[in-house]
Amino acid sequence: MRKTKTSLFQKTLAAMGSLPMAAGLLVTIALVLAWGTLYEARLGTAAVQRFVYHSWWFQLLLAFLGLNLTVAALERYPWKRRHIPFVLAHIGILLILIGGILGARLGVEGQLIIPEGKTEQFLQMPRMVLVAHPLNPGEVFVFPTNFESKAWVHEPNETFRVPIEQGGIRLTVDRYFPNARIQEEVTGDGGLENPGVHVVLSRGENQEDVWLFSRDAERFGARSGEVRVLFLEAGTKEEYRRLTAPPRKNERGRGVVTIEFPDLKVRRQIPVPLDFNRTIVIQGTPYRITFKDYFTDLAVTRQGVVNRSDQPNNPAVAFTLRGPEGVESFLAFALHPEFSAIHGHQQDQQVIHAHVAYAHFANAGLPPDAICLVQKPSQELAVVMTGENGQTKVEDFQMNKHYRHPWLDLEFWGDAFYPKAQGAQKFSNQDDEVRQEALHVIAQDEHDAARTWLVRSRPVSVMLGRQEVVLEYRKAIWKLPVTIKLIDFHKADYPGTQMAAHFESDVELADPERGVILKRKITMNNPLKYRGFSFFQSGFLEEPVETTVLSVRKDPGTPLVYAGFLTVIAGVVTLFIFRKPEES
Amino acid sequence: MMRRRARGICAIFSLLVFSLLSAGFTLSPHAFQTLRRLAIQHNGRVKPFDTFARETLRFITGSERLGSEHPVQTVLAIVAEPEGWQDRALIAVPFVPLREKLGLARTTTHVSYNHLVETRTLMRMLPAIVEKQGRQEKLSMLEQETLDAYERFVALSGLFTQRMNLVPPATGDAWLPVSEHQAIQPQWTGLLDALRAGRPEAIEQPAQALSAILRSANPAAVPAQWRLDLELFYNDLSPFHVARIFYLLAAIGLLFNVVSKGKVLTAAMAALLAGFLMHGAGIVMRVVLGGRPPVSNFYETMLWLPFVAVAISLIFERIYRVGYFGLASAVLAMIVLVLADSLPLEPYLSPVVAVLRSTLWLTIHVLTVVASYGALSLAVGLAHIYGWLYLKRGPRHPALRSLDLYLYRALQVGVVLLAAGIMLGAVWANASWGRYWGWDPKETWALITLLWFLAVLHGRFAGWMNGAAVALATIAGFFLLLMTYYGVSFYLVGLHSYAGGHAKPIPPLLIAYLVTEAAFMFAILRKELL
Repeated sequence: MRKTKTSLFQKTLAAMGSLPMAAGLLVTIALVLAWGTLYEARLGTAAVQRFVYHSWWFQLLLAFLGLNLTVAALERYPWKRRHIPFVLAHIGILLILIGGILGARLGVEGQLIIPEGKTEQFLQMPRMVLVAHPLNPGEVFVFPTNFESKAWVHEPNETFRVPIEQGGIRLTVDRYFPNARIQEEVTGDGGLENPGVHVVLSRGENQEDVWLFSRDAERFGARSGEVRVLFLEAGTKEEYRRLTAPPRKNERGRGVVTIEFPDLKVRRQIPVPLDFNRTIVIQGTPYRITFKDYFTDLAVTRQGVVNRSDQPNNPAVAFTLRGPEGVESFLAFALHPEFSAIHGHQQDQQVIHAHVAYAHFANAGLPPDAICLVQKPSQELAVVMTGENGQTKVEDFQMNKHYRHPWLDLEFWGDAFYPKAQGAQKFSNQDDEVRQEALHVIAQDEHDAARTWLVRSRPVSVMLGRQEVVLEYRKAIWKLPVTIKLIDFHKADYPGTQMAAHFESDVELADPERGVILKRKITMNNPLKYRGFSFFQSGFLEEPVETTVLSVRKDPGTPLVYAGFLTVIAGVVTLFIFRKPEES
Repeated sequence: MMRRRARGICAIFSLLVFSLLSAGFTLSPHAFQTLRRLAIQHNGRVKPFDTFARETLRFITGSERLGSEHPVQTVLAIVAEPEGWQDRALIAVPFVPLREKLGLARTTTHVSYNHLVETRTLMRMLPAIVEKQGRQEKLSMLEQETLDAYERFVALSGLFTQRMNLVPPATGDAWLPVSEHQAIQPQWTGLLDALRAGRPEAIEQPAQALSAILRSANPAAVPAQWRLDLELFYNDLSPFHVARIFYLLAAIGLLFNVVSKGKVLTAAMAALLAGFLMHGAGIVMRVVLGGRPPVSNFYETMLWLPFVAVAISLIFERIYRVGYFGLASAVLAMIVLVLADSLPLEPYLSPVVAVLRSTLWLTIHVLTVVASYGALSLAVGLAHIYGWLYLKRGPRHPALRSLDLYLYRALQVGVVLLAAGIMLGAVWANASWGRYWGWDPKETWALITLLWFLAVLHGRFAGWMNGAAVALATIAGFFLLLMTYYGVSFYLVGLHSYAGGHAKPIPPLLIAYLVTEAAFMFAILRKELL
């Protein structure tokens, strides 16, 4: 035994590397982790990831363990033969810890969600952000948020400043609901013309009810099993006649767009061509039309507009009109003549004075197996019931009168109809598990204030005086250096079941920087690797269109972690080689 | 050779069956053999009718047999004469709050088809649940159990309406229901009429005819005869029940051996070895039949865990020849095998979810991790022997010194396997999810268990844990192991949850165990401190 004067530093160092410290640290980390998993069961994965595993104090605890391992290994220097297993195991664990911290600091982890036929370049990152987009000056401001890691705080009162000229805008989040329940209340005292009807469908024990709004592209119709329920407006008698007539069969083609320029007193019909992006001159006018896209069954999803199926359930055509006044884009729906007034996405910014109508064979009649409520020009309602083979039956539709569908086993009635309906959403919180988040935001500038609820990935626009601000609560996005296009997605089930046996995505990766284009098949357990990024098949969505979910990961720490694994294994192997003689 | 033996055993078995018959009709041995060999597609696999009958009865009623009658007999009776069965309480309702919802007494375990149809309470609960599922909301335990009960109802109604995929398809891989296939109808109704008529000798001919026409629909789609025979052999033998009996004998012998100092060691070890071989043969048969690695669902891990524990104990017994390892592993294996059959787990070769489908790394990962559970459970068994001797014979008992070493060795093996298993899991996760570590509850709990046992090893190495303390810490570590292995799969969420099922109420047996164990630990601790 050496007896030397030891400094405080040496004593501390010795304590750092001591066995009791090691055992204590191991147990402490174990306890924290155990608590973390219980916390997760209550508040959800996102919360625990942010609050525990990625928090500074937990990383500090791990770093402390690393220090303990290092000191314990160094203390025994110079190492003898019998120290080899011990030193190797400790170095290995140290490498794993360093690799882990490197990966957490420098790595990228996110998801790519790509509908079939679409191209995506932005990763959805785990972190949630609040986005503010004042339309003047048109800049986008992104604020990282942290509400889900303290999901039990429902009144965070956190303020974000949008630094624009004219004094700036303050956004205050005064409510955070981790698992919001949203109930819709519809009243008849909206100021604007907005027909809304509440329909109840009843099949034996089952009852379903739905609010339909004829002027809302997403809410004019609903599906219940095989039955479609639609609410349409017939602006003219001619339209009403067309809607109630039996469907004509065997019609093909993409339909015809009719454009009327009231100022020029010109009306032209342009068939929708099979090819896009070709400019067509509209005879006798200074206008030109360019068709951009055609949908047989349009649906609006989080990823934008998609084509749900080949069936003509909701035909629509997208085109631009170019004239002396400028350019304007249109989206015209065959089943909704009233939407043709929607120009691009901003209703108030009409550039070109034109009336647009889109006629498609699908609106020559109505879809089969459907209940179609039609508002007549006289504001009264009629119901058109259609059968499988194009049979139709028309009746006047009165509130609270029960109707039986002649070809489907189904009874239905309406119990409220408001020509000027107004929907209001009521938010309440169910529990603290992060499942369906909702934020209440107050936007304020020097003179005005506006309030709104935000749910995930649904932008809402608010008006502050003359300034319009679009707000959104969504996942942070990160731009990949490459783009990925989903060419095809397939899923195979176990024979005779609906259980997925495997699924795969045919993708095309394009790297414009390097001029590389790769076509690959990504399957479960068989990722695509490119420039340090790995693209893994992690999931899929079947509705409304087949959509693949790829997880994308770049982790520079992985080689260190793997080296650590190998070192630990080497340590264990040497343990058996350099073992002390058998204790007895 | 296997086949002849299989036939022999089947013959003995069917004799047994006929002495115990209770249905309205009987099958001749020959008809019975023909009918149970019919190939049927069910739950994503083509299997013999025998297996289908067992699985379906177990799924609906919770047990493979109604009384002593053979499942094939019962299922055929249900198919042939549904009217008689619609009023019998067949559908299991294990969840007490659901019984109350359905208007049953708290003690009523089963409900009849007609009761569900007439009251419609169950059906009325479904739309709300399905809607909730559609919104991707988490279902409560009651809602999960309601769906389960509904699925049992559907399975039973499937028997009533003859929705059984017995007809091999000409093309594609989805077999066709026998009730919807015109060409098969004469033979099928012929068999049903014969069954209803109830004369054993009259059933033989239609059974043969049906078997022939089904096979001729597409002989290539029907599994090879040896596969069907092997599966029947496996069903009849139930190798794990046999193994369990050997383990019981071994445990009794080895216990006696501890008390009487080495008199019956050889015989007891022979019983252990016999159990082990039977256990291994059972696992091999499952691998051959399922065409997949031996640990693809929770039930199979409960076969693999004790198998590894016994294997390790046999290796240690070769080195030390003491009987303690054997005793610990025999008791452990017996308990785990009994539990595997009595817990509400699915013992069948059902399909595996897509992410768990055969990758080499995954297989090695699961085998290693479950093997580490086996080794650690063996250590827990040794810790109990240590504690028992410590309490009965006092801290100075000579066997304790060597038991301390054995416990240490078993812990070392377990810790090395667990660390390796976690690392292999990381390698697999990196290969298939793109991240080697994601703080998933299962990974986290495996890490917690590892950290605990590492702390124990360090504590022993530092000299501030004696044998009793290590034994106590090992038993405490078993609680963590139970949480990792069982608790996480059923009570916490996460990626690994597809290996388990939805949450089930905590079984009273588990609570009783925890209380007993706590009392045992307290007794050791008191003696240690005094």
